[in-house]
Amino acid sequence: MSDYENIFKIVGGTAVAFLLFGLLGWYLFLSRNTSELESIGESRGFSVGIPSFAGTRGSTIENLAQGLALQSGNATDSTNTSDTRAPRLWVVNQTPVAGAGFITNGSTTLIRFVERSTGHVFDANPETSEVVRRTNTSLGPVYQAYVGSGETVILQTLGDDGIARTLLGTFGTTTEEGLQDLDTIELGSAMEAGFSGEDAVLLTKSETGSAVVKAGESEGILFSSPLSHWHMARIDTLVLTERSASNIVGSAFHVTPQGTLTKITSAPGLTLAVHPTTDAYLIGSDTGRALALSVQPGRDATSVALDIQTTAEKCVWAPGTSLTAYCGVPQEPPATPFLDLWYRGKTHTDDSWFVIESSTGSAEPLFTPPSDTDLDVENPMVDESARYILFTNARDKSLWLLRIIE
Amino acid sequence: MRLLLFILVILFALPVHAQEDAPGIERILSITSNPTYPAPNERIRLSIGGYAVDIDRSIVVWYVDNKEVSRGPGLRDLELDVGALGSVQRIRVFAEEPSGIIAIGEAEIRPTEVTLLWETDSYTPPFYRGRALAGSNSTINAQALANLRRGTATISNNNIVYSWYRNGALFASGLGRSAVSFPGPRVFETHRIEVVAESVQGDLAGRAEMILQGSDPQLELYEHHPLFGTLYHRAFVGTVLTGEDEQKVAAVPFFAPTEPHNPSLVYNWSAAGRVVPPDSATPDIITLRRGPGFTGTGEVALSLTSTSDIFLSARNMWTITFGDQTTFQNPFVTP
Repeated sequence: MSDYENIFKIVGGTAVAFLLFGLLGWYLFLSRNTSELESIGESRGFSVGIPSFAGTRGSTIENLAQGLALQSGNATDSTNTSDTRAPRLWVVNQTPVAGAGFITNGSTTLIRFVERSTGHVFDANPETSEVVRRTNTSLGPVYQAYVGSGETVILQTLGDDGIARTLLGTFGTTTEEGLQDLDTIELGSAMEAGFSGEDAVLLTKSETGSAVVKAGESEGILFSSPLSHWHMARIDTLVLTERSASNIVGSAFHVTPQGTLTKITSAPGLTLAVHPTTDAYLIGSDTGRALALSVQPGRDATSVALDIQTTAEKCVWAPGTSLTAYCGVPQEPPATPFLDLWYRGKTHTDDSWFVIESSTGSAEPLFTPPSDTDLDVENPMVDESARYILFTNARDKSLWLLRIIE
Repeated sequence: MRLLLFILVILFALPVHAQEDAPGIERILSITSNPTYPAPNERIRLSIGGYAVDIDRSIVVWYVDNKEVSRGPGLRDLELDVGALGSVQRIRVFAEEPSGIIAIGEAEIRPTEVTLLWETDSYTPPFYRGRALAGSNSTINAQALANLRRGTATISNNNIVYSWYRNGALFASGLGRSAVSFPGPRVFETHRIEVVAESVQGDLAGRAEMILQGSDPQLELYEHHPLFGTLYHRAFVGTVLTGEDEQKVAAVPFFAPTEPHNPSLVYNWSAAGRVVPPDSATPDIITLRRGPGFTGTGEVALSLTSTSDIFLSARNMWTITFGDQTTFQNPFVTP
């Protein structure tokens, strides 16, 4: 029996030794591979951690700034949330925005914008540089957004089928604390949208053409047409233009309350900036070789050519009855045919700002950005107090603010 | 019919030979306008002609609304500023030869406004702000906006006859037919589209025209970003630098006859000379991946054809640089 016991002990001990040795080898193998995986993960940025939404912004820009060491802290950067006045030229949001506008909260002018990557709504205060996220409903990429006067926005997204969806979003008032849900309702597929007061106005396409419809309490059809490729140059008093292309004649029209069209003007590569309260226009043309801009102070007035070359889509009128306008003007002659290339994102300009006095037909320099700041102005707008110009940079869809008077 | 009305008054029967005419006998002067259909507030040129009148030797007197505006020997032409929409200007012109023979012409100028609008169903990407051009096999929708007025009364569309011409040949007409659809020009073709709008009574008429040029689809390439979606504002132009190991790109066939996912469109992608088969559901999008350790430049090419239109053909090529080296190796791992 003792021989059997000895054999059993030897075999058992050997087996245990092999088992321990195997486990040790397995441990060493795993630990080495884990170390390799960690180093690979770290190099890929996995150690950055889950994006934090704990800050006042909790935005893509903040996450990028923290996680990917995006440029931050310079004089014009929006990540500065200290209680200091924004610089004269302020980048409100460095990452793409879908749309923006001015709102007033009491006597305070705020900038409201919609982040393109998420559809989150933000408010920015130009006097304090503070940027606050308002909503926490993520909608994925939002390609276009329009800011209403209340707590409403219109958002346009793309479905997997490539069809545009238009949503009307509402959220809590600015007096409420914390992030709000964005409640959305479908408005169908609209080619363009905007606000007339509190009402959403949509340019919708149908099998028989198109219609401009007003949603909300005063719902109704403002205009219908057998054609569909219109652009709403002004919404409260409807002004439509044909969509523009270089060296192709386009026309612009007033839409009467009866829904008929009264022609304003025609020009090759027509673009139009309509005064918010009068019948004054900035009329841009693109012959395919050069841009030209003229000002028409009234509906039947003679237009006066301006000594700057730009498109009216880079221009905005001051509010009220003032006949002052502001235009982003390319510092170098742009590539041609400009509008065709610009609309496709194939060319961009480096603009400086000019002020136009339509009563005298003069165009004077207002502001030239620093040499390392390339701004391709689009979607400019001026606040009610005529202190700020808000615009997006067509190069990257970042949002910028210029204080008109230093 | 024309806008200008020629009211001709012959007071006396004319003998066979002009040189035998007695002094005081009237002949006919024709008045033509350039442009033929004056627009409101436009400056036009009126010209007179007459086969049996020696205008060069005549004293010519022009009247506008019974007011003399010009007088002199051989004055064949008159420059005139047309009035506003709805206005009427009555023109009378007299030419008196030294022999005493008198010729007279009368006309009315009624300015009109006709605006021709058009669009095509060619493809442009969502939220594209520009106008779609007439691509291969596209349909053109056109509308004439005729503003014909008598005084302050606007002629309704139902009382206007529209005549549509393509390269001079009538292809559509009818009462109130202000909108038409027709096939667009093929590649390299040019269509001159003209519309004449005339009141039923024939006293008012206007015209407008446009030139349509056929064009092939134009392929552009954009980054299809996981966060921001397709970056339509930033087309790939020239050599594009990327720091990504993997990048989705989307091709946009501007002015194609259908939307990009339509099965009739055939996408032939290649990267670094090798064919890249796209996903059948989204053939306009491919994923480019950097080869292991590669830094350098690679080319992406795309050609587009159609199974339903043998004339459709478009191609483009883009250069993408990974890192800062310029030596070409095989940069892509095809997905």
